[in-house]
Amino acid sequence: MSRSDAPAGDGAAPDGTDGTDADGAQRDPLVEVRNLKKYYEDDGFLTGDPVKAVDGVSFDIRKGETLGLVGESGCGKTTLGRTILGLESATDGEVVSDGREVARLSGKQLREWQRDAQMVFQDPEASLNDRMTVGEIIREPLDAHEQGTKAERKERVFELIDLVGLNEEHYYRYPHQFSGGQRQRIGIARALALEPEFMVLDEPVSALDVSVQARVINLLEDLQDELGLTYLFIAHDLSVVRHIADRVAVMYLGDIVELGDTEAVYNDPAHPYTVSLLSAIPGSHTGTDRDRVTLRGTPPSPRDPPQGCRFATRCPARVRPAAFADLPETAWDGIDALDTVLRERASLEDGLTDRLRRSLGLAADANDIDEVVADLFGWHPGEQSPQEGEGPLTSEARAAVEDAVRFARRGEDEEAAAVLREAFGSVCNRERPEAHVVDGDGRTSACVRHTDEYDSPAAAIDERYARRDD
Amino acid sequence: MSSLTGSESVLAEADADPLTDRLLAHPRPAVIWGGVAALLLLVEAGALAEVSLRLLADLVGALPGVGDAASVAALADAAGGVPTLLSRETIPNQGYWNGSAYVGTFLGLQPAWAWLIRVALVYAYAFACLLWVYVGFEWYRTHYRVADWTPRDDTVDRLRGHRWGLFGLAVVFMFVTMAVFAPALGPTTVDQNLANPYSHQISYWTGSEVATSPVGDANLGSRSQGNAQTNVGPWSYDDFGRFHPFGTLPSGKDLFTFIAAGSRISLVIGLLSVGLSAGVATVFALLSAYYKGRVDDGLILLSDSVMGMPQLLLLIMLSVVLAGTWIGNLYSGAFVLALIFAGTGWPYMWRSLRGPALQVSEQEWVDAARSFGQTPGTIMRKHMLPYITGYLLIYGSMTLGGAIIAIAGLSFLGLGVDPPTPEWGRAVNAGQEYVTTASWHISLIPGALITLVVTGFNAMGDGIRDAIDPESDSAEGEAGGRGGGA
Ligand code: SF4
Repeated sequence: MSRSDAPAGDGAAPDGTDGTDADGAQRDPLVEVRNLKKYYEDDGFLTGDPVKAVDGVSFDIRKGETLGLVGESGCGKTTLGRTILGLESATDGEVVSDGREVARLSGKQLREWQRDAQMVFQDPEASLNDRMTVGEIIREPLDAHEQGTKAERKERVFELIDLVGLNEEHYYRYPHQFSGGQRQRIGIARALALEPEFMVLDEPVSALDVSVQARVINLLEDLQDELGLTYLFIAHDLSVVRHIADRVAVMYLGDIVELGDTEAVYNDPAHPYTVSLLSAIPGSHTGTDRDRVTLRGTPPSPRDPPQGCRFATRCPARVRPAAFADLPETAWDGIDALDTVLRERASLEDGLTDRLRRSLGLAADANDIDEVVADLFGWHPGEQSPQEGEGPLTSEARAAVEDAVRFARRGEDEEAAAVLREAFGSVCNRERPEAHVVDGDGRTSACVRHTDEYDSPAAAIDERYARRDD
Repeated sequence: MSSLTGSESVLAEADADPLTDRLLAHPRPAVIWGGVAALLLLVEAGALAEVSLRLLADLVGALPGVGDAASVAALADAAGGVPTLLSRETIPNQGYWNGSAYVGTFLGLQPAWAWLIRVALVYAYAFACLLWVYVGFEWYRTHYRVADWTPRDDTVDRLRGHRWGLFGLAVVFMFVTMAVFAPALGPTTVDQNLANPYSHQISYWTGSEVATSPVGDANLGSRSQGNAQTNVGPWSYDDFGRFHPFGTLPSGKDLFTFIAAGSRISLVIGLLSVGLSAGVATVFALLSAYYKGRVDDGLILLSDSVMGMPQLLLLIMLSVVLAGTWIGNLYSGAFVLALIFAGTGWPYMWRSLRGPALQVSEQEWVDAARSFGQTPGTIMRKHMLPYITGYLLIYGSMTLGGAIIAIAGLSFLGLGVDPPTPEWGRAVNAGQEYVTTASWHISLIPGALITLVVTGFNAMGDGIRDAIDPESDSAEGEAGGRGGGA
């Protein structure tokens, strides 16, 4: 995996294509991620489920490209980056690069991988040891790998300082004396010291001022052109990713839901989550109806993710059972909200006192659930059986809600949620969707709506928003 | 990269010089500094050689079956013959009145004045050494260091403005000087006055003629035992014309000589025990913070079981068991004492260091170092250790104060350092029945000195803490490392 000294002549370098991805499909994968999982077990002895930070993702990072990795905070994107580098040990699955399986490397091969793959960290305040001079910081990887003589290492550091746009007199300064942008340049120089070919950039600009962000991004792009680097660019800022990434992977709750060429994804998002995410950027695309797709609520806990599609609890295009096709949108809003409430209550009641109270039949929050139902559907289940036609629910739907509420009033929230999902759930709640290829360039999206059986996500979302307007 | 290699500038090469080149380019300050160093060394060369050779002789003598201690001791004696400026030979204070003038004292002065001049010179010399170190640092900073600013500069500047810390530093400086120059500071010597008084003679003026007497007999005549007739108080002469700056002990021996010699043993035990326990505590703290999990749990278990041992009982037991063995006799039992302090004291320091170490281990730069394959040892040394050395100094200086109290406490109880080796606690013990009498000085002076020195070490610790972390409040709730002991 050694790189020639003249990257411009390197066959894999993206020269000529200028960041576009015309020959993207032909590029060889540099890093192959296969069914990668990273679970965090808690140290405590009372807690049960592990946190599923990364839950079975597979994708390739191609030589010379910038793969953007986006998602809300807490979706596992940083963990994914760190696991790919080997900074975290994978729970399952594998990361293969150049025939080497990263998680199982040791000795000489591990040293090689640590040279070939580097990381730039999010917080330039925290990632530099402020008791060392800039020169020492940048030189450290060279020292650790004992590259060349002392003089040569020093020479190389001056080269790197120059390369990232700092001054040579900065060699003897301490990180304290630099601005955030300069500090991030130091971090980049350190990452470049061992001439890696792959770099994980973990939100490298999100801690910086907007004006500085652009300059650091430009530096990263220049370095990529010059040195033929491959980037995994992790960010939550979608516009930055659109600017720098050739392809983009969208991550939700430990899963990659959509992966494809950046422009294609941004212009015509396929997965409902991508649609929602992009509509949060003002003026990001033209589809008039979709401008209003809002992302409701917060992601569920990665300790207890939804069983079927991870996004089912918030999806604006979730498949609904045919039996309830006539329910108005407001009714569905209410059902989704009730589901969220029940899930939250279920996850909260793990405490010992709750279990005790429940076994004694003392569900003190029986009233609460009635209140919630009254707020959502306009009828109070504790008081009278409702009149026909009152509230947005049909009688069938109401019967199902009543069933669920009965459990909830006894404090059996988990069962209540299960009943509710039994009635109103669909394939989305039962099956984890596969990744479907959705366009000619091999873009994938993990949603059942890409099968012939259902309308496409875009169509479904448009239809629902249209109904809402009526 | 080829295009970039060519672009290194002249500046880069100039800055890349090693220190020697920078020294050669601008040698004046370094030469002056070196000259002063030579001068300071020259003045005390004989004493320095003697002390180091004597230590060697002690060591050779103590180790069973090794070499011949006598020859080393002879060498030490020879070195003792080299004239040194600050010695009792150059500025003698022991002489006698022959009816018309002082014989044998420096310039024929009164013994008190001669002694005072020597003490003043010793302290001036020590201060000059301190100044020399500080000026060296300043000059290095201004003339030779390439970095125009380092994080340490701020720490030094803050310490410079910290009055309480400076007070502590001054007290510690006085104490250390006393310990280092103990033989030159006493108005008489340990050998002559304390250890073998009957093998030495003194001359004195009886009022009509000059007579000689064994020191032991003279001591009997200068006892401090509470009543006005038998008492030699501070800053007074006894009937034999000997000057006693701090008065005498109940046995008639000189208290100042006793205290000066005792400060040396306190400092040695303190430094040795704190140094050892700090070393162990640091290594363990770094290990537990870096590896966490099992390693940490194991160390918690180990430290808890050590802390569960009754320290005092252990001390008594070990001093009985080891009494008479070569290790038990090393430095009058002080060495074993230091080992026991270190062996039982490190968990307290480890507990104080573990928190800060864990905090550093969570820093991203530690992750960064791991990501490019830095070895665990280097990560601990370069990326974690510098952040806990401050705490090490703080807890170390406070523990040292604790150790001094503990040693004194043990001697007070009749344990610890074997008599007749002087130890402060034994002086306090010897004088306790005279506290309310004319001989109050026997207990009170060493007692006050212990308090002062311990306060000094704590003040220095406070100063260092505030200098390292300006946000921290002086009234920090967390207790410092504990000295341990009785
Ligand atoms: S599978 Fe269902 S819930 Fe998941 S994104 Fe597609 S439509 Fe939405």
